[in-house]
Amino acid sequence: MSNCNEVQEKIARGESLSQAERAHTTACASCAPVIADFSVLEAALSALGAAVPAGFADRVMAGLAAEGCASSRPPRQWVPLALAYAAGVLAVLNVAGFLASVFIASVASGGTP
Amino acid sequence: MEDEALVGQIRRGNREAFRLLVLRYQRPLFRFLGLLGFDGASCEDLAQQTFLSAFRALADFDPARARFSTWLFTIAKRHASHERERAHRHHETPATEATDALSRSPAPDPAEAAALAQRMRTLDAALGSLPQELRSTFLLSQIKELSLGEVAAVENCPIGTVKSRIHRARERLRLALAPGETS
Repeated sequence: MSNCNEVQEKIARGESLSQAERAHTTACASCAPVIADFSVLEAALSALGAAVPAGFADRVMAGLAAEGCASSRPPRQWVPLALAYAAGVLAVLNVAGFLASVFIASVASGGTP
Repeated sequence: MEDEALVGQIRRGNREAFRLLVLRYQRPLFRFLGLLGFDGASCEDLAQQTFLSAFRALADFDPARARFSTWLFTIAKRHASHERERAHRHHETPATEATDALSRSPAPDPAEAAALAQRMRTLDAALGSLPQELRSTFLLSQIKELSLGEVAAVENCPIGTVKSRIHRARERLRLALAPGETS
């Protein structure tokens, strides 16, 4: 046999009842009025809530098009640019280092650069 | 297709994938906004703002941190809150969704229509009298597309708090609608 308090708590929380609990509520003088009251509430609540007007999704999509919305940030083009720049700088430093080493070697051997 | 997969497609430039998300969430979103008390025109404005904001901010959406539905309803809640503040500042009293619901409902006979009208007014007043936190949590719980965990994420509180708020809100609304109660 279901505990009335427990069943009424479940009804009050809007939780679904087991088959045994449903059977109990139809026979129990304490639970029957509670479930009847909540049925009135459920029925009233189900009548509330605005209906979706026809063509709503089309209007949303038209709104996106009108605003020219972008769904994401533009690709981060600075990343490849920065990498290319860094590679260029490294290449220049490399060449400069090579030339410097040739110059130093040349000076050390008494020649002219 | 899962929401997150659609989000991936949108990020890769397939804008039409966003239409599928709109179609998937428009009904629960309108229901949520209607339950919050906004009338049909305001619901459409707010729902449109919500979807446009979501699209613009899609680059910031992190599927590892939240489900798309949670994220979307968080945006909707923020827009609804701003609209409420704006209406309050301008002393506006927008038509409630209860009024709209009544106008949509077929009325089988005058006595039943009158009883229904009274119930809807009572429910609307009872919802309006709930403290903001209770009201917001309870209304989110009415969106079947959101689990309790997702409601907790939108409300930024533990699931236990969500359950407690739902319980308290339902009890207050039940009492308001119970026979013999007057609004």
